[in-house]
Amino acid sequence: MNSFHQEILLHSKRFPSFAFVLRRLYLFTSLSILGLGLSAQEVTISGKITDSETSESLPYVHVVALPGMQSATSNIEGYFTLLAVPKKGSRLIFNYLGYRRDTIWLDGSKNLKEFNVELVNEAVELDVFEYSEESNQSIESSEEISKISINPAQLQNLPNLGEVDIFRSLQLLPGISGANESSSGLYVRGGTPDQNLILLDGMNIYHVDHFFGIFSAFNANAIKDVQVYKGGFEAKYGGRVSSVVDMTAKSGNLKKPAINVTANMLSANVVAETPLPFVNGSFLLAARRSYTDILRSPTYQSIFNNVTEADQEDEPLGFGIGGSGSVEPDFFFYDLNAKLNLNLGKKDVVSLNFFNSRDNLDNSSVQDFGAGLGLDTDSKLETTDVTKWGNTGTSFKWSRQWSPKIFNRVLASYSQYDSDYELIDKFTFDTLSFQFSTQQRNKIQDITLRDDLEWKLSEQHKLSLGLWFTRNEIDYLNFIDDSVEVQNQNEIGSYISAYAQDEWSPTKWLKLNVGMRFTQYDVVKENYFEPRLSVLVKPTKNFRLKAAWGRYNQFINRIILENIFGGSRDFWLLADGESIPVQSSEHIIVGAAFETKDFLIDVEAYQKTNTGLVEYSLRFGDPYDTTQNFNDLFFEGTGIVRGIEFLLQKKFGALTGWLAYTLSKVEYTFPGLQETPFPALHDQRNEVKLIGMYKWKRFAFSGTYVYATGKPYTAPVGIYEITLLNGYQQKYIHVGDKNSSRLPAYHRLDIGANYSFNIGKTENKVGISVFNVYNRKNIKYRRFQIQNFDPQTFLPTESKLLQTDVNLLGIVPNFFINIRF
Amino acid sequence: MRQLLSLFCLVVLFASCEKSDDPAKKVVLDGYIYAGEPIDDIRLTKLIPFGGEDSTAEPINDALVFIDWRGTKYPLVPAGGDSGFYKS
Repeated sequence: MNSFHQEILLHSKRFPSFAFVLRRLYLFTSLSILGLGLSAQEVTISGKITDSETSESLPYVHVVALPGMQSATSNIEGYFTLLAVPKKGSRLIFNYLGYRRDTIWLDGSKNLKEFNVELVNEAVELDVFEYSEESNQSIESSEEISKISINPAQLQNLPNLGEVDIFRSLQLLPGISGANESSSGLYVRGGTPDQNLILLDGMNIYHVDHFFGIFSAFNANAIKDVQVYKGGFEAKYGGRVSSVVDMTAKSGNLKKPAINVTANMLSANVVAETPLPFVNGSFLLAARRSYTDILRSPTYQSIFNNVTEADQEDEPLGFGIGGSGSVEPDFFFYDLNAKLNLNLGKKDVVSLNFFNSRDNLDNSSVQDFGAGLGLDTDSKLETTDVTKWGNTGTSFKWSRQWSPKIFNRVLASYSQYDSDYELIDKFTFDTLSFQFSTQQRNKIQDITLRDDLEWKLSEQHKLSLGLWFTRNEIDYLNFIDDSVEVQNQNEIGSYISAYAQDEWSPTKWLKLNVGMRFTQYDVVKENYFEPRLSVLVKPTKNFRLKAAWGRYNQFINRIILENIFGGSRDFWLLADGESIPVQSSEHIIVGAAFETKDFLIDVEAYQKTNTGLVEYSLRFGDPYDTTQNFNDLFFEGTGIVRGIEFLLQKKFGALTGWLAYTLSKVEYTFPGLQETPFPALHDQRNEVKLIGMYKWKRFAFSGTYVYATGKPYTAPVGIYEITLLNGYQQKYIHVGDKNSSRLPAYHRLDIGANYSFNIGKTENKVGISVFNVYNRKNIKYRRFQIQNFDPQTFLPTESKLLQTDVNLLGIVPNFFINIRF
Repeated sequence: MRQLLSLFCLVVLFASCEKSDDPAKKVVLDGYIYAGEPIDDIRLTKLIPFGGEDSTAEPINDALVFIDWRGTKYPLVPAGGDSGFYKS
């Protein structure tokens, strides 16, 4: 909650007695029934909120009328409506993260039916020699439970790997794991990235990683608004069981052409926007591409060195010898955003959006045994390891403000994610050679149609109704040695959902959101009811209590392919109700927040009970056995997540930031894999994040520190020997309990600084950023390889286990320049 | 607030307790039983943990070993020496 809410709370009374509540409820209900909502002196105010510089509509702006405290939030197209506002003497306050708060007095001169307001972006208007109350805030904790707003424009002040990245910034929030730097996917409150509903202008995005997961696939320069629901989300969202990230792309400057160019040590980024001729509309094009495959900058070299340094060479464990290895990853990525926006009259907005992202990673390597042992033999292991993945999506959106009280949005979208992974291990010993290979291909196609209706029934009630249809088609291929078909699936499934929810404010200090979502999933031909409820109580001006409960279902699953010796990979499949069940989750959240002008203390405790979790494992199967039914190797399980998260935020002044702590436990039970419960792969008990931003004149300094206790992994723990019936001795590897080993703790410090200046009409910013300042060698995963032969003679020997610690990024300096004209 | 902090510390304390999966405590049983023949080559050894110095299995010579067949227990005794073998 921000200063704006503080002001509102000043007008609220202290926590009333139960009898008082009953009287108020009775009075309220009576008035509602009799339809006596408005008096002669009260009016309805509606309009549109836009950016003063670009005229872009601003969604999710909080509007309140004082002294009556009528409030509203602008919808996705910036429209807002306030009911029953006294015609004279009222003042409207508009508050939006990253923008200057605006106060407008009602004096009877303004058209209340077209009450259009322009807000000033702090990044544009702010005198750089000063700081304002809102100037340095990157996040805003909503008074709604588990909801946070992000200001992409302010994220540039945080340390980064060269790119302002929305998902990386989200990982600095409590409840969202910040130690998964190998993936920009979000692990929210014990959930996995596939359990998050990622929406970009209504498009479902299935995979968000760019470039080793260093960046997300979303260009922050093309994003206008980000709303994050960490749990307990309302009925209008569905299809995922963990969280929602709802992003709205910029629609482009409606007043003048503008270009924003950013370059750093890894990639270049251009955003061009222009108003359309002859019509009231705009067009925006954003393109970003890495040039790591063309120019190897020091930043790239840092990453390269990290991958190839000595601590990632294979090391023998206890006995046996290892070889010397080298990994030279070659990679590039690009992404493209385009948006055409048309304002058709004062009520209709039409937009056409396009999104494309692509990654190509070649992680091939050569391991020379002969050279490693100082021998003159040509003994080597050549590994071809190529991974390609990307998203393509487009959406068409038509929004119409039918009346000040009724807003409707129709959306049609297509989204595709595809991945292709190929691994070939070729062993060579002089003239002899043999090879093993595996190939995995996965493709998801998503067609979604949505209609969302918002109807402001009265000052106390806002009704939302909607329909949602999604059709998925998934292909998954898994080959071994070019000929052994492990899996070859083509699946088609659809679900249709309908929802209704009411945001009900019976009193000034109580707010309820009651909703129900109904879904029919055609693959299993079952109906699913998902009730949702959230409650907000504000007993005093600084204190609020909150709670939420809800049920959630998910019909598409990211399957974890357990690979003990090579790290786990994943792929997507539809739930079929048999080997892959429909995922379900129940969220229970309670919390409290105490907020003053300068500080916010927010605590939330949660429990999520999950069913229908799936893991796919070859632990008990033989991939070369073509007679085996591999659907039997899907293991169904349940999970329970418990946690508490704590946020202390300093919001005002030159120094701002927050301290976040999360304590959580993610425990899975998969009877088919292990009798006893075990920690999930992403179970991280303790996580601390400290974020600080300091503004001084034209400079902005920042630092982030993340500490997290080690993540679990499954390790081969020993070897044993059995005498076979023929008398031969045979060694076997014993694998420990699932996820019973823990990696060392993860921690890192990032710092950044930037300087803003103008040259002519251009607004410029240069900055440096250092990721992992003290070069902590955090471990991504441990890789194990069994060596059964002597690399000198190539004759069979005792089994030896080679362990490789695959590290995450070491120190990575970066430099960026941003030019805006 | 102080109580809340105490509770918080307690929770952290409990959260740091973990079960161990000690490979040194894993027992390997190796042997064959044939009908009508004496048992003399049942062997118990410890798992050879990765990361250790030894490449041979350490025999277990002091275990209580018996075969349970339809509710009747047939004890085995150590074969002698540091072999890990047990016999009937």
